[in-house]
Amino acid sequence: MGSLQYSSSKHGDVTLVSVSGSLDAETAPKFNEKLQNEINKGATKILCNLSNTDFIASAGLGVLISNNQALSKSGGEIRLAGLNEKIKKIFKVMGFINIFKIYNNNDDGIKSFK
Amino acid sequence: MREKEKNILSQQIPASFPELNKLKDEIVSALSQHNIQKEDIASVELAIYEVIANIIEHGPAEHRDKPVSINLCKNSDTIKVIIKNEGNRFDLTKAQLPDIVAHYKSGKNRGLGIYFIRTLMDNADYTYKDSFNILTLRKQVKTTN
Repeated sequence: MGSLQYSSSKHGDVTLVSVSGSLDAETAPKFNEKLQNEINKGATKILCNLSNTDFIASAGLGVLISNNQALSKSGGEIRLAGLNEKIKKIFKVMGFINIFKIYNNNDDGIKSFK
Repeated sequence: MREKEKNILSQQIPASFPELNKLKDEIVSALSQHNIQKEDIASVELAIYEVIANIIEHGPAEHRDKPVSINLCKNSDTIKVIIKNEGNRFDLTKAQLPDIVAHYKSGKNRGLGIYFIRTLMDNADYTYKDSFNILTLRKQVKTTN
Protein backbone atom coordinates (compact mmCIF):
# COMPACT_ATOMS: atom_id res chain seq x y z
CA MET A 1 0.00 0.00 0.00
CA GLY A 2 1.17 3.54 -0.71
CA SER A 3 2.21 4.98 2.63
CA LEU A 4 0.72 8.04 4.24
CA GLN A 5 1.68 9.48 7.61
CA TYR A 6 -0.51 12.14 9.09
CA SER A 7 -0.17 14.33 12.15
CA SER A 8 -1.95 17.44 13.36
CA SER A 9 -1.47 20.13 15.97
CA LYS A 10 -3.31 23.27 17.07
CA HIS A 11 -1.77 26.72 16.80
CA GLY A 12 -4.40 29.06 18.21
CA ASP A 13 -7.36 28.62 15.92
CA VAL A 14 -5.24 27.20 13.11
CA THR A 15 -4.99 23.43 12.69
CA LEU A 16 -1.64 22.42 11.23
CA VAL A 17 -1.79 19.16 9.35
CA SER A 18 1.43 17.47 8.21
CA VAL A 19 1.28 14.83 5.52
CA SER A 20 4.21 12.56 4.69
CA GLY A 21 4.47 9.96 1.97
CA SER A 22 2.12 9.51 -0.92
CA LEU A 23 -1.21 11.23 -1.52
CA ASP A 24 -2.53 8.90 -4.16
CA ALA A 25 -5.63 6.98 -5.17
CA GLU A 26 -5.02 4.40 -2.47
CA THR A 27 -4.28 6.75 0.42
CA ALA A 28 -6.73 9.52 -0.52
CA PRO A 29 -9.68 7.95 1.39
CA LYS A 30 -7.61 7.85 4.61
CA PHE A 31 -6.46 11.43 4.10
CA ASN A 32 -10.05 12.49 3.47
CA GLU A 33 -11.21 10.76 6.66
CA LYS A 34 -8.49 12.50 8.68
CA LEU A 35 -9.40 15.93 7.30
CA GLN A 36 -13.09 15.29 7.87
CA ASN A 37 -12.33 14.40 11.48
CA GLU A 38 -10.55 17.75 11.93
CA ILE A 39 -13.49 19.60 10.38
CA ASN A 40 -16.03 17.67 12.47
CA LYS A 41 -14.05 18.65 15.58
CA GLY A 42 -14.48 22.30 14.58
CA ALA A 43 -11.38 23.11 12.55
CA THR A 44 -12.03 25.85 9.99
CA LYS A 45 -8.54 27.20 9.36
CA ILE A 46 -6.39 24.33 8.18
CA LEU A 47 -2.78 24.65 7.09
CA CYS A 48 -1.57 21.56 5.29
CA ASN A 49 2.19 21.07 5.22
CA LEU A 50 3.33 19.00 2.24
CA SER A 51 7.10 19.26 2.72
CA ASN A 52 7.42 15.51 3.25
CA THR A 53 4.86 14.53 0.64
CA ASP A 54 6.75 12.80 -2.15
CA PHE A 55 3.90 12.06 -4.54
CA ILE A 56 0.51 13.64 -5.17
CA ALA A 57 -1.98 12.19 -7.64
CA SER A 58 -5.30 13.62 -8.79
CA ALA A 59 -7.12 11.74 -6.03
CA GLY A 60 -5.00 13.40 -3.34
CA LEU A 61 -5.48 16.82 -4.86
CA GLY A 62 -9.20 16.10 -5.06
CA VAL A 63 -9.35 15.59 -1.29
CA LEU A 64 -7.81 19.03 -0.76
CA ILE A 65 -10.20 20.62 -3.26
CA SER A 66 -13.38 19.03 -1.90
CA ASN A 67 -12.60 19.72 1.75
CA ASN A 68 -11.52 23.26 0.98
CA GLN A 69 -14.81 23.91 -0.78
CA ALA A 70 -16.79 22.35 2.06
CA LEU A 71 -14.95 24.57 4.55
CA SER A 72 -15.44 27.69 2.45
CA LYS A 73 -19.19 27.48 3.02
CA SER A 74 -18.56 28.20 6.70
CA GLY A 75 -15.86 30.79 6.06
CA GLY A 76 -13.01 28.33 6.48
CA GLU A 77 -10.16 27.41 4.20
CA ILE A 78 -7.34 24.97 3.59
CA ARG A 79 -4.01 26.62 2.84
CA LEU A 80 -0.79 24.86 1.95
CA ALA A 81 2.76 25.24 3.22
CA GLY A 82 6.26 23.94 2.60
CA LEU A 83 5.72 22.37 -0.79
CA ASN A 84 8.93 20.61 -1.81
CA GLU A 85 10.30 21.19 -5.32
CA LYS A 86 8.71 18.07 -6.80
CA ILE A 87 5.22 18.83 -5.51
CA LYS A 88 5.55 22.53 -6.31
CA LYS A 89 6.40 21.72 -9.94
CA ILE A 90 3.42 19.39 -10.23
CA PHE A 91 1.14 22.12 -8.84
CA LYS A 92 2.66 24.55 -11.34
CA VAL A 93 2.32 22.28 -14.37
CA MET A 94 -1.25 21.37 -13.42
CA GLY A 95 -2.22 25.02 -12.93
CA PHE A 96 -2.98 24.81 -9.22
CA ILE A 97 -0.09 26.94 -8.01
CA ASN A 98 -2.19 30.11 -8.14
CA ILE A 99 -5.45 28.54 -7.06
CA PHE A 100 -4.46 27.41 -3.58
CA LYS A 101 -2.89 29.84 -1.15
CA ILE A 102 0.61 28.48 -0.68
CA TYR A 103 3.23 29.59 1.86
CA ASN A 104 6.92 28.80 2.19
CA ASN A 105 6.70 27.51 5.74
CA ASN A 106 4.37 26.84 8.67
CA ASP A 107 5.02 30.18 10.37
CA ASP A 108 4.05 32.17 7.29
CA GLY A 109 1.03 29.95 6.72
CA ILE A 110 -0.22 30.25 10.28
CA LYS A 111 0.30 34.03 10.30
CA SER A 112 -1.66 34.32 7.04
CA PHE A 113 -4.84 33.28 8.85
CA LYS A 114 -4.58 36.11 11.43
CA MET B 1 21.99 12.57 -35.60
CA ARG B 2 18.77 11.45 -33.99
CA GLU B 3 19.21 8.65 -31.45
CA LYS B 4 17.43 5.44 -32.38
CA GLU B 5 14.47 4.64 -30.16
CA LYS B 6 15.21 2.03 -27.54
CA ASN B 7 13.08 0.22 -25.04
CA ILE B 8 14.11 1.11 -21.49
CA LEU B 9 11.39 -0.69 -19.50
CA SER B 10 8.90 -3.45 -20.27
CA GLN B 11 6.59 -4.67 -17.55
CA GLN B 12 3.38 -6.57 -17.25
CA ILE B 13 1.64 -6.12 -13.91
CA PRO B 14 -1.63 -7.23 -12.32
CA ALA B 15 -4.06 -4.33 -12.13
CA SER B 16 -3.56 -3.60 -8.43
CA PHE B 17 -2.26 -0.71 -6.38
CA PRO B 18 0.60 -2.62 -4.71
CA GLU B 19 1.91 -3.58 -8.15
CA LEU B 20 1.38 -0.04 -9.42
CA ASN B 21 3.44 1.32 -6.52
CA LYS B 22 6.28 -1.06 -7.38
CA LEU B 23 6.03 -0.04 -11.04
CA LYS B 24 6.36 3.65 -10.10
CA ASP B 25 9.71 2.91 -8.51
CA GLU B 26 10.86 1.03 -11.60
CA ILE B 27 9.82 3.89 -13.88
CA VAL B 28 11.76 6.41 -11.80
CA SER B 29 14.79 4.13 -11.76
CA ALA B 30 14.72 3.51 -15.53
CA LEU B 31 14.35 7.19 -16.38
CA SER B 32 17.02 8.24 -13.85
CA GLN B 33 19.48 5.81 -15.43
CA HIS B 34 19.00 7.70 -18.69
CA ASN B 35 19.68 11.04 -17.01
CA ILE B 36 16.23 12.45 -17.59
CA GLN B 37 15.72 15.61 -15.53
CA LYS B 38 13.73 15.17 -12.32
CA GLU B 39 10.81 17.35 -13.40
CA ASP B 40 10.21 15.21 -16.49
CA ILE B 41 10.60 11.99 -14.51
CA ALA B 42 7.95 13.19 -12.07
CA SER B 43 5.59 14.03 -14.93
CA VAL B 44 5.96 10.65 -16.66
CA GLU B 45 5.67 8.79 -13.35
CA LEU B 46 2.49 10.62 -12.44
CA ALA B 47 0.89 10.31 -15.89
CA ILE B 48 1.45 6.53 -15.94
CA TYR B 49 0.14 6.30 -12.39
CA GLU B 50 -3.06 8.11 -13.37
CA VAL B 51 -3.66 5.87 -16.40
CA ILE B 52 -3.26 2.64 -14.45
CA ALA B 53 -5.12 3.89 -11.37
CA ASN B 54 -7.98 4.67 -13.73
CA ILE B 55 -7.87 1.11 -15.10
CA ILE B 56 -7.82 -0.33 -11.55
CA GLU B 57 -10.66 1.83 -10.27
CA HIS B 58 -12.95 1.95 -13.28
CA GLY B 59 -12.27 -1.26 -15.15
CA PRO B 60 -15.21 -3.68 -15.16
CA ALA B 61 -15.10 -6.50 -12.62
CA GLU B 62 -14.63 -9.20 -15.28
CA HIS B 63 -11.39 -7.56 -16.36
CA ARG B 64 -9.92 -6.93 -12.90
CA ASP B 65 -7.61 -9.93 -13.08
CA LYS B 66 -6.27 -8.99 -16.51
CA PRO B 67 -2.71 -7.71 -16.54
CA VAL B 68 -1.63 -4.28 -17.74
CA SER B 69 1.45 -4.03 -19.91
CA ILE B 70 3.73 -1.00 -19.98
CA ASN B 71 6.51 -0.19 -22.38
CA LEU B 72 8.78 2.78 -21.92
CA CYS B 73 10.91 3.84 -24.89
CA LYS B 74 13.38 6.65 -25.33
CA ASN B 75 15.04 8.35 -28.25
CA SER B 76 17.25 11.42 -28.06
CA ASP B 77 14.67 13.76 -26.60
CA THR B 78 11.37 11.95 -26.27
CA ILE B 79 9.90 9.38 -23.93
CA LYS B 80 7.20 7.18 -25.38
CA VAL B 81 4.92 5.20 -23.09
CA ILE B 82 2.64 2.43 -24.35
CA ILE B 83 0.04 1.12 -21.92
CA LYS B 84 -2.08 -1.82 -22.98
CA ASN B 85 -4.96 -3.45 -21.13
CA GLU B 86 -7.76 -5.80 -22.03
CA GLY B 87 -11.15 -4.31 -21.31
CA ASN B 88 -13.98 -2.18 -22.55
CA ARG B 89 -13.06 0.54 -24.99
CA PHE B 90 -12.07 3.73 -23.20
CA ASP B 91 -10.54 6.52 -25.23
CA LEU B 92 -9.28 9.16 -22.84
CA THR B 93 -8.01 11.27 -25.74
CA LYS B 94 -11.65 12.05 -26.55
CA ALA B 95 -12.62 13.06 -23.02
CA GLN B 96 -13.41 16.71 -22.48
CA LEU B 97 -10.95 18.37 -20.14
CA PRO B 98 -12.30 20.30 -17.19
CA ASP B 99 -11.87 24.02 -16.65
CA ILE B 100 -9.58 23.94 -13.62
CA VAL B 101 -10.93 27.03 -11.89
CA ALA B 102 -14.52 25.83 -12.35
CA HIS B 103 -13.54 22.37 -11.12
CA TYR B 104 -11.89 23.86 -8.04
CA LYS B 105 -14.93 25.98 -7.28
CA SER B 106 -17.23 23.01 -7.69
CA GLY B 107 -15.37 21.17 -4.93
CA LYS B 108 -15.43 17.86 -6.80
CA ASN B 109 -13.06 15.36 -5.28
CA ARG B 110 -12.56 13.30 -8.45
CA GLY B 111 -12.45 13.83 -12.19
CA LEU B 112 -8.96 15.24 -12.64
CA GLY B 113 -7.12 12.09 -13.68
CA ILE B 114 -7.47 12.55 -17.43
CA TYR B 115 -6.62 16.24 -17.08
CA PHE B 116 -3.43 15.19 -15.28
CA ILE B 117 -2.46 12.70 -18.00
CA ARG B 118 -3.10 15.06 -20.90
CA THR B 119 -1.40 18.02 -19.20
CA LEU B 120 1.68 16.16 -18.01
CA MET B 121 2.35 14.54 -21.40
CA ASP B 122 2.69 16.28 -24.77
CA ASN B 123 0.70 13.87 -26.87
CA ALA B 124 -1.75 11.00 -26.44
CA ASP B 125 -2.85 8.48 -29.09
CA TYR B 126 -5.40 5.75 -28.61
CA THR B 127 -6.34 2.61 -30.47
CA TYR B 128 -8.62 -0.31 -29.63
CA LYS B 129 -7.63 -3.61 -31.14
CA ASP B 130 -8.67 -7.20 -30.37
CA SER B 131 -10.35 -6.11 -27.11
CA PHE B 132 -7.24 -4.24 -25.96
CA ASN B 133 -7.02 -0.55 -25.15
CA ILE B 134 -3.66 0.73 -26.38
CA LEU B 135 -2.68 4.16 -25.16
CA THR B 136 0.51 5.80 -26.42
CA LEU B 137 1.80 8.85 -24.57
CA ARG B 138 4.76 10.96 -25.59
CA LYS B 139 6.73 13.63 -23.83
CA GLN B 140 9.73 15.64 -24.91
CA VAL B 141 12.25 15.52 -22.08
CA LYS B 142 15.50 17.15 -21.09
CA THR B 143 18.53 15.29 -19.85
CA THR B 144 20.87 16.41 -17.12
CA ASN B 145 24.06 16.04 -19.17
